[in-house]
Amino acid sequence: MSVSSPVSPPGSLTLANSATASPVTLTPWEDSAGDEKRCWICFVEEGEDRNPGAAVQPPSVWVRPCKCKNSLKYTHEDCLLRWISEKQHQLPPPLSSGFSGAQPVRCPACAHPYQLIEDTDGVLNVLAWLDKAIGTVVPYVSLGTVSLAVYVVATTYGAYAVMTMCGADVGETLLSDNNWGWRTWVGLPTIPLSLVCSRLTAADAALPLLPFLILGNDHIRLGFPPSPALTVCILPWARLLYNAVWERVTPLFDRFFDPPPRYGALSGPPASARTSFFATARQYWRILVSGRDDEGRRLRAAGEEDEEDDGAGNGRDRDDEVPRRDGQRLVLGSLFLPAAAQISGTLLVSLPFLRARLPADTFHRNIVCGAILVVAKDIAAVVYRAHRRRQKRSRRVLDYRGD
Amino acid sequence: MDAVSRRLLKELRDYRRERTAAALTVASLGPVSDSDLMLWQAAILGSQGTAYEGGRFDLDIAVPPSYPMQPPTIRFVGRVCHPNVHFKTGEICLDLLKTAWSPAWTLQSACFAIGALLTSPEPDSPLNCDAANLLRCGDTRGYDSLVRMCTLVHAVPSTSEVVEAERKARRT
Repeated sequence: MSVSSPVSPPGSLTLANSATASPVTLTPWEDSAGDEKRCWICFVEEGEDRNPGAAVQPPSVWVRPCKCKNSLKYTHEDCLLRWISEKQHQLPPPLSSGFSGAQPVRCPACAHPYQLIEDTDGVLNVLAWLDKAIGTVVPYVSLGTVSLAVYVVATTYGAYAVMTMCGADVGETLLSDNNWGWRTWVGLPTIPLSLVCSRLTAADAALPLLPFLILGNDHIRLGFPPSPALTVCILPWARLLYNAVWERVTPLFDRFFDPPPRYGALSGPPASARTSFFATARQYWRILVSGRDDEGRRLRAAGEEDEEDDGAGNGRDRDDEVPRRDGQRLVLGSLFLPAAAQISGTLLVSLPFLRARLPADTFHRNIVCGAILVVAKDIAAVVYRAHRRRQKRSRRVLDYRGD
Repeated sequence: MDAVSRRLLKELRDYRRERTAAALTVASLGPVSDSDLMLWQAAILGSQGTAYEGGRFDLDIAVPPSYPMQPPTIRFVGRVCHPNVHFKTGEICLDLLKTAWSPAWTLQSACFAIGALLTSPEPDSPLNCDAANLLRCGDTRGYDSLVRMCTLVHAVPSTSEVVEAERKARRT
């Protein structure tokens, strides 16, 4: 407890020196240090009515609680008790002290701790202990409840994803009591987590190993067509491969959907009116291999911000070209993937042409359809971006023709 | 009459009866109107030989119903250039008005303490960063002239105001 001493307002040198700031020397009744008692809290003197007009006078019990003299010597007991509870309310009870009370309140002038006597009994002690124990436990319990709720939701989603991807029959077998072990408890909540992580690069190192750890050796058998467990193990690797390839291919798509504008003689060699097929192919190959085009410019991959801006008029603004990658889109998009895969699988299999070519069992059909969806979505994003860029480049300002 | 009003009336009587050394700083102190004892007004004078010299700073005092268990809320009415005073709102950063309050303080002694705070700023808990930064850089000359200008502009009654007040006093 910081002793609230009226003599020293916050770090003021001259103020601390000028002891006149202390009410001890300030208060005018100090000179009249006679016998009359004056409560330093309510300023009522002895013999004065404490509540004039009222029939019942509060009892005036005078106490001398501390070492102070003169004007700060006497006070009413009830005034001082009110002040003490006011101070105790401000100060949080220290952790080490008992349950009966807070830190001792000190006299604001002489820092003498007020000595209090109060009744204590066993019931009060027990209840106070209980009160404190509950107060300690509550934050942990609420934290645990929230995490449990998150866990339950994640597990439920995982079960839903299994049912969606495997179809009702296989799913029910998988999730039946016979198969329900610790792997299920761990694996099901991991499904939504890894789905979300698959849209980020943060967990790239962990994702490929996760299925092996969770599924265990018993279920993974090499063979063709691969068992569902093996497929799950392969998926993260396939994703890494796809991402790597896609990063290389995206500039090609960009170039294909949105050929760079030709600036004539201003920049680079004068372009002929018709570029030959072979020149174009060589250009594309260079981009694919080195990631740079003929003029040595680094071509951006999908969603990559263009750090090195080429030239004056070609600067990219950051507004509407790259579709925004915000968290809601990312989480919802990844969590909707199983449902989308299942719906597209059902739709595609209704075409007789595809029915013969898609895998027979539901799980693999859905996996293939999900992969098709991902690729289609990526291509759509590239096309969208290219069209936005083209639209932006076509933007012109109209002259005012009103007058 | 409740205890708060009784104590406030006693404080007022003490202030009017005994003009102690504090009266040099606290030029006036009293309730705004006779009907409401919970709103007070005070004026403190900048002490001689400081940059606040010649200034008369008005204070608004709001007494809480739980007074004197809780400190009064005191703020400057006009603009005061001081590290611990908010330039726009007049809010005062003084522990006496917050945690260090004790019922032994009175409105008069609190105003006196604010007057003392004017000449002993604490730039490490600033409400007015510009003034505090000058002090922290050790530029006391710049700080003093800034304070003097603020005092002249905002706190020194101008000649026309004085003349007007005198004319009004003569008429009545």
